[in-house]
Amino acid sequence: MNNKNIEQYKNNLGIMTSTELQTIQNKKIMVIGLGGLGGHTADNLVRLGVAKLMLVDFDVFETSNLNRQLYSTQDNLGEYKVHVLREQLHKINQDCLIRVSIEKIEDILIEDLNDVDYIIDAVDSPQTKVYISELANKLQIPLLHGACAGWYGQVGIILPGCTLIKDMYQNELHGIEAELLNPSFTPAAVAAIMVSEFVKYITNKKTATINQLRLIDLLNDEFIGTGE
Amino acid sequence: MVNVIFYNLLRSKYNVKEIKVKAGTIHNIVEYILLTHPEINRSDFESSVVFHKGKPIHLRGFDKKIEDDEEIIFTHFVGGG
Repeated sequence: MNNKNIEQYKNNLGIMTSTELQTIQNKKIMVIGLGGLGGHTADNLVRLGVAKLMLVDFDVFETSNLNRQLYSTQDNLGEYKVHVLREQLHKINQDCLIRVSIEKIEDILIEDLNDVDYIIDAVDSPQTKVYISELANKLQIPLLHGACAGWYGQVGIILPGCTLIKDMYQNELHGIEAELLNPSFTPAAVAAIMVSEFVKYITNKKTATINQLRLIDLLNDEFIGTGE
Repeated sequence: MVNVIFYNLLRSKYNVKEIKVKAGTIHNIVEYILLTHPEINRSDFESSVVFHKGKPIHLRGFDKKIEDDEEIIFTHFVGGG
């Protein structure tokens, strides 16, 4: 780490060693879906010190995104989310290597993803979540799963070989966010928990979310583990 | 008794978080809950996913027997973001 990096990230060193921070900086993380969850997750990762990102989202910012999606503003409606996020994240760390794709994840060749170390699933479609879990399994890399609706969220670290996401979503096409919607704060809170679970995992701290889901109820201040 | 936890949609719609019921299959448990909570729509159970010992169980697996002192969680699919 150079002196500028040390100053920028020194406040993260209360929860990890400088060696662990360097480990995180050297990992390439692919964030798929840059809505409420993905935008906050990518932002948290860069502020944590992650220096290699791949951002995947084929969508542009729309008016209905303004209530919760980080960096969406009246000024950038109609712009691709990946382009806005890349610009904003470079304002946090100009040295961060950020590859972007406006393709659907299903259309990206697996051969082009061989250098990815971790995948973040922040998409809204259940069937895309299933595809992503199978992709992580093919690449033999961990998947950080997240989802949210209303007051509720769920987070899990899915390791290669685990079929929990496929077993859970099966052929489902829609989630309950169609009914419970998504307020301003839930995606931000769930994204923060996703990143904290990621840090626990990468720094070998105890976490109950490996190959399980942590169910989050912000209304009642409850965390429930599906495997407990 | 089985500890039954409602999560997300059921919790939000019916304001019920947790119920203790007699051990039995998940079908039995649903029938018992419908008797004691007639305000709950059966379809909300049928569209749910039940977690038992970390494994998701869908409607066609609701004949699974849940033993005393075990816990199940009724949840629904979340995409979101």
